[in-house]
Amino acid sequence: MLWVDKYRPVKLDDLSYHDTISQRLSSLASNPESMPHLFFYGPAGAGKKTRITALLGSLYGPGASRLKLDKRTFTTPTKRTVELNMITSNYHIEISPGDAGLNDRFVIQDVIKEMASNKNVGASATSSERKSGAATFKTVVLVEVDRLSRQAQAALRRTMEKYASTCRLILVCNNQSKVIEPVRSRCLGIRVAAPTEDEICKVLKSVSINESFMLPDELAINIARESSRNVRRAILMLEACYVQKRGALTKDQPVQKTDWELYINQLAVEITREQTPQRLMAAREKLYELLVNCIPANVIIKTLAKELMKNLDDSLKREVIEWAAFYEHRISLGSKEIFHLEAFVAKFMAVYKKYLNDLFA
Amino acid sequence: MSDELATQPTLVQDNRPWVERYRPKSLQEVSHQTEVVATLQNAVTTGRLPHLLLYGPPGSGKTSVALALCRQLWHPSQWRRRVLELNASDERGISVVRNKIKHFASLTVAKGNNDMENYPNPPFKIIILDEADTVTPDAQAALRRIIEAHSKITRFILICNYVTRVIEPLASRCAKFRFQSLPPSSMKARLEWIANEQNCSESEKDLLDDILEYADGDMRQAVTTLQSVHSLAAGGAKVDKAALAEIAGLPPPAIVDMLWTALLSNSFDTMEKVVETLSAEGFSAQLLLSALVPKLVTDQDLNELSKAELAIRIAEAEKNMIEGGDEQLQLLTVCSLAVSCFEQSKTINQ
Repeated sequence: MLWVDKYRPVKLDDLSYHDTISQRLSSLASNPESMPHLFFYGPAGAGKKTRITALLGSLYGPGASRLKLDKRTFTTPTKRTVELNMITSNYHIEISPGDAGLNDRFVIQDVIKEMASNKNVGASATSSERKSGAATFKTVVLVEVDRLSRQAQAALRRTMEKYASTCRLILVCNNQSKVIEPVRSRCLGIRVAAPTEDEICKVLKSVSINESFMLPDELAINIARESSRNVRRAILMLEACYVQKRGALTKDQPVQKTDWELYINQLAVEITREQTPQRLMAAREKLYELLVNCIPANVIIKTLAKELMKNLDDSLKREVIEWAAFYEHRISLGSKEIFHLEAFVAKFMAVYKKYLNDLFA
Repeated sequence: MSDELATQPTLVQDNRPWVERYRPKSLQEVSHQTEVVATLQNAVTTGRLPHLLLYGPPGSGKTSVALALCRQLWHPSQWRRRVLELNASDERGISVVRNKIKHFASLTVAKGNNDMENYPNPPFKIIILDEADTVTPDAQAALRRIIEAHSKITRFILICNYVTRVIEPLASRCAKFRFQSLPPSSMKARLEWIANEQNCSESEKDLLDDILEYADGDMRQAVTTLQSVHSLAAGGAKVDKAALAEIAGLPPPAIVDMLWTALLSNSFDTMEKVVETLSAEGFSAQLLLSALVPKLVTDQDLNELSKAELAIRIAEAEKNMIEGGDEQLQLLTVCSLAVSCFEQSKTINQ
């Protein structure tokens, strides 16, 4: 088992940072009947999912962690079938309706209505595992709500209110602005901020103590800095370092950056060095390589812009960020990513060349 | 089906969210919308009702008014049979309009029993089309004739946020009522009443004014926030003004100030760092931008031209984000423009 999974906290009390959030969640769990719908938002790797799993655990007891993977097919009114993976326990169901693409609306309508129309089995059963005061409702966890279409979000609005007595929703997303206001205003918002570097260091330390090896402070700080405030990534990096040195970690050991980051770094260096059509062709090859390796185009453009801006003049930085935003937006509108990536590179070359010419002219 | 669920007495009492539980039961209970209420009250007494189109911002009581009206027209045993409520969660393509609505609209109604003398019990049925702005234009077009053909026994109540999204021929068949977003005074009265019903503590009541400020005229938001505060406080968590902003999902003032000082710092790198931190903290760029707007507009140092330029850029960024653009990049573009604008006006002023 990877350390990330092995040391994932399972109880609300074990959560290592954001004490106020943990406190709020446990106060909600202690009084489940008055729990409203929840809306978790925050950047990737901040620990949203971990908190939700912990919350479910304290709402329903150990039964909530007995999970199974289900594959369900939904039929839309136009007789098209959509297949969707979902993770279920007796008490809750977790789906990522965005996977259904255009048909996400039907999935939402179906799943919630179905969940809401039969009562929580655990609540009526008198089995020994049932805690006193356990919740009498079921929970639907919808991940990546920001990927839902407008219609699907509109479908959520009234559904959330109507079925609230038998079914609570937990919505999870990274990007709060893509969720429509009426849905947000129906939920209790919980902002899970990315942990600070100190907090990551503490997490890394506790992993090292549990695995009983020495983690030098300097290395922990380095990893925390490189992880860009993402715990999952930090722990993975730590494990990578550990494996590399077979357990004997040194304080000045380099933290492995991922291949694709180095690759983009290299690309940035190349296009600042020379602005010619030949270079552009070479850049295209690199971009293709990145895309083939499943690096999302918006991540490429963001990282590339950041790398490019490192040694630029302030006025140029402004222009680069402007164009990066422009082409990133185009990527999300269009369907052929490579065009926009290339266009960005070409644009940068033009802007930079002009700047150089003006400087030396 | 849902309605049957909701009426099961065992589940209803303590489990529904407050927004549902304290929905006004009669028209008199509805806060603030006096004109609408007066007109509809009249309809209740005379038993005559035109088709209605209710529109206004979220949380101003449109659905509540429609439901309260139905409750007052018929005896509880009757009204569920008389009212068909369709919202965006139901399938509402053209086929539904053709079949379900047509079917419901074409059935005549039986005369009510004698025990209903306290209710006007008018001889028609009501179809409530909630969130009518999400009904497809095709389906709306199909509705036109249905509304007229069945108007003898059916009344339609269309509810929407934006009246412009309802096609004109449909809108002209209805009596239009505009709902205003609620002023704090009338919201406060209602919130206080709810707080008393729920035995909220004094410290929670002290937060009411802040809750109203964040809700910005949206009653549902205010009630949801109040419930969140109450359930958090019941579990022992401390809720103060700063925590309230977070519960409502808004960036706290301190955070906005931090961004503002970064904009004034004249340095791209400082600004970039702050923006990066803010996105790592999980604040929504959209809300940050809307918090920045009043500050930018009222700023003394900026010249008018830069203000206009910034306003345009903010609007563009907002649109781009909705279309799927990256939050951080869009926020950065606005902020970098702001930084250079400030720099410019500073040199001019000197």
